[in-house]
Amino acid sequence: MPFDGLAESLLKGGIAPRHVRRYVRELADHLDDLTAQQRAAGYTYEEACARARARLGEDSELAQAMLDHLGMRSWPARMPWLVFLLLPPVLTAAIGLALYAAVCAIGYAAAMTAVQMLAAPIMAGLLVLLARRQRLKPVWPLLGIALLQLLTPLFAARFGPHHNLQVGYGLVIPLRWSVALRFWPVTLSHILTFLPATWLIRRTPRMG
Amino acid sequence: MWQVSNENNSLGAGVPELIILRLLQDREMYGYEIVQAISLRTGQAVTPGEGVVYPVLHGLEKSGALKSRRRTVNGRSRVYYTLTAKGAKRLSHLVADWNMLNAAVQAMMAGSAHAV
Repeated sequence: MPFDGLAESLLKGGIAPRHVRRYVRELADHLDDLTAQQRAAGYTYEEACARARARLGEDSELAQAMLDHLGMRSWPARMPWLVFLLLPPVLTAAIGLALYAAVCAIGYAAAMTAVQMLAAPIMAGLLVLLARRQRLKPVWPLLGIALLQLLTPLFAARFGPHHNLQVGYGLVIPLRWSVALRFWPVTLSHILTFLPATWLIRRTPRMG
Repeated sequence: MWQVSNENNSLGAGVPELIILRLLQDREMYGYEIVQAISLRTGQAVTPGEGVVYPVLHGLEKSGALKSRRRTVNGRSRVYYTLTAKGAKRLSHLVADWNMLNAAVQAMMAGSAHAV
């Protein structure tokens, strides 16, 4: 693709993916028009392509023109601490609270356990995907996941069916594996939450 | 290179905006058309790197001065830009700023000529 390098530069520069996609698409349309114009002027296809590309501008110039617009930067690039550290626990807690209310209403406790088990891993997966999509440094999603890991037992204690015992689990797991096995949904939740982080760490050397 | 600036506190700031908004005052256009029109109507005095017009357009759209829609014409799908009421207001401010700056420079040049 003619603008892959440009798109990568813009993503690394913090431009929101939707702005990058649109820019690249409009550039491609413009390049088609320029090429057709050059062909109509009598140039061979290869010459027309080369002349059209030159008229469009160098990749560095095209990238800089967009990077100069701070308003085109994504929220994760502008405020990673908000997106990766503050919002995930708040969202997880909000979802937990909403589901707790729903479970209280319908009286189906197993659903609550499933939600508690999956909420943090899903949030961790989303953080990793977001970071990868926007070419952000892995430190932010990893910090966010670590914070989620620390806070998940607290949410479980606050909203879950096992209250104090789950807080205890968060503190004594290194010493009492029997407790971890007994409260396997929380244990499984921690393991699943670590998976996206592990994947991200393994991918990090290739991110350049 | 073209840049959009929200502040006109430096010479030349807002010129790309002024030109684009003025062109779109007449009718809706897509990027390639805008670049060709700029080149034609300025007698090729203003020839931006053609691709850099899009960040200006996107910036103007983000600020509410333009709106866009995708249209298919003759089998080609393109993004057309239209001036909004906010854009028209912005254009009138830019025109006033430009006229004031132009008059000031003209006065200064005339003064310099007299001095010589």
